[in-house]
Amino acid sequence: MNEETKRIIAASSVPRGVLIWLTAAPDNESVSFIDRITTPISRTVMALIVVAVAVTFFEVVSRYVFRSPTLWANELTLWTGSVIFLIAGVFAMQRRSHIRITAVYDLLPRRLQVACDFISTLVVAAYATMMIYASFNIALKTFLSWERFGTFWNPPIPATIKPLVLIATLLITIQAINNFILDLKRTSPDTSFDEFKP
Amino acid sequence: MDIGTLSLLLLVGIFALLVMGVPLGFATGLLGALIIFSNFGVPGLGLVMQRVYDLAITYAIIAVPLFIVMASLLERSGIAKDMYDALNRVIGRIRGGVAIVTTVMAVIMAAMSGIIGGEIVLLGLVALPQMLRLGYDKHLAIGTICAGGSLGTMIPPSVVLIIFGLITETSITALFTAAFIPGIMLASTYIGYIVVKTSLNPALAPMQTDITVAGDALAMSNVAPKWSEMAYCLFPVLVGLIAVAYARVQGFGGIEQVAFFIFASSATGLILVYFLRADNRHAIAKGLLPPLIIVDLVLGSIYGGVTGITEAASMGVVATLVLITIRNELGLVMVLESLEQTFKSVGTILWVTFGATVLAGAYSLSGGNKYVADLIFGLEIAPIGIILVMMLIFLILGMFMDWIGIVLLTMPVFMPIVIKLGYDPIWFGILFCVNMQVAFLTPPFGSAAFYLKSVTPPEIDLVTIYRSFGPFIVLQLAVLALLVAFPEISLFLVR
Repeated sequence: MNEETKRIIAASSVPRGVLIWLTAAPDNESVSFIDRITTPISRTVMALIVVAVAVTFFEVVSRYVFRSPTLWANELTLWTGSVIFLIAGVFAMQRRSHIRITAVYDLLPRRLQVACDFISTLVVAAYATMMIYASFNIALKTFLSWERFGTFWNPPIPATIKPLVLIATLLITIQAINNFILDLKRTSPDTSFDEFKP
Repeated sequence: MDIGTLSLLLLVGIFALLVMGVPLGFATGLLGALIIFSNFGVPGLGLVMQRVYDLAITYAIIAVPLFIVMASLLERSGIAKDMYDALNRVIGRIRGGVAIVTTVMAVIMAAMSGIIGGEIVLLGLVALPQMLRLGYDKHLAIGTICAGGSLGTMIPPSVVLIIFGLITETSITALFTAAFIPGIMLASTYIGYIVVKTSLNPALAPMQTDITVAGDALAMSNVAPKWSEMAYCLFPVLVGLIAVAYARVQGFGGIEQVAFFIFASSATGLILVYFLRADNRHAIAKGLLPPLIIVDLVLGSIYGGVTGITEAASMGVVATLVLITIRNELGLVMVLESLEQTFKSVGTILWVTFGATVLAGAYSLSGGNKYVADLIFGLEIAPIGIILVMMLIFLILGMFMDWIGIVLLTMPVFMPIVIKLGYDPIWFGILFCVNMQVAFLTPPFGSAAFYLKSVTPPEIDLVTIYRSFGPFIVLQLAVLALLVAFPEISLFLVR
């Protein structure tokens, strides 16, 4: 969020503020239409963190205060948690914050940096291709047969999360290719939004 | 391909990809997939998605986003600043007091959060200007902040220990219990060092009374605190913590009673904070009570056996939100910013874990773990020698890599060896954690320095920052040696 957006959100009502935030532009200096698609997706999913907190807290209260533990709270947290973990990878790629060692990279001339970026993108793409190629049919079958968790509450965790693993990996790859193309035009990689960058 | 060649290729492959700056999570994931493909062909590759899926639906990791969101909310509130002012009034008036206050504050903040970055940034914003203004030696000030701030990943709750527990299948609660005393030991040696150093050379830390500086925070800290005022305000929280200590001594008979003490003491504390909010006479209680309530609730619930890690974390988030609301600081922008920061950190931590778990699974399926174990046992070094070599590897890797990379790359191979040698995995986890304390400070890529640099005035450069770390690294290594020599220090609370 840039300062202008923050000011507008602070002045709005909560629902309106959330809406402005969901549709606000990504923070990067270089932005393409892909960033404009992945950012709202990420922002929607990160709101699930609030759900995870609320559900877990509700479970503690109902167990200790009302002495009636729920059957669904743990599994619902598990479900929201896994969605958060998977889509968070897309957001981290959009913010270019996936952990990497830049000791040598930072010393290289820009042309070699671009070559390294190309290899990085290739690595992400190859990993995604191998995973998706091998598991596409399994994931599709799990989804079509609406496979459930096998517990009393029985949420469809495998049916939703297994395909989501592949979808998240695909989104990360698209984002990585997008980052590579955007950074090609720049004199240095876009790290404008990294708060801890020295 | 035989496993020896494969291991060598793997080592070369990881090194080459990392040097080029390929994101660790995807480099390890791809290498894992390639190993599976070369050994088992396309059918085996289904394992890649399966391992990511299995990790994504692990209940204990949900504590990670919850602890991070709690820390980022705390960072954005004035709770830390008020605690700092309050501590300054209590212990700021002795020689080197502000540095000691900084360490104590670092410990309390470490007991509220499980990550390193935010804590160092906060101390850099709150404590560093104060120490520099008073004329403290800048090396002492910087070293105190970074060494203290790194304790965030040592003193429970700690994200390092959560990930360590997941990867090595060790009890996270046991790790949290064991880490407590070593964490306090580290902090005590820092304080001891500050006291000795400043009494030998008082010029390093001028007293607040030596100079007159205009500024209400400084003027206020010259007034002696009233102990009675502190006592009655801290009482409710102490009740909760004493209940936990009692429960531990007695064995866990009455979880319900412990739960009652913790919840009631936290609630009483929150009510006190509410009624004190507009009262200017109780600055110390207002400053110290909020962080202690959170420590009481989160650590009390975990140590008292009342809830698991994830549930304790969610209670911590709720308590933080209540405190921020009482302080009238809650705003939508703050919450949304915390969510973005948390989501980004979770993405980086989780996806590197996903990649590494694919690689670890592939390597161990191909017989790699057994190969390395045989190799090491074939060397016929004394068991403790093997442990020392492992720690040397941690320290060297720590110069270049984040803790998460080290735990994910080494533990799947090291842990079976440690267990086979007959050592306690909990103890090894604590040693690892202390090693990572050193890693945060060692150049060229000690992350503590980078976090601090992002908020220091430009005249403090990275070289100055790294030069300040020397004495603290020595202290950390001394504590590490003690923990190696006497495993009981870490383990007696667990047994």
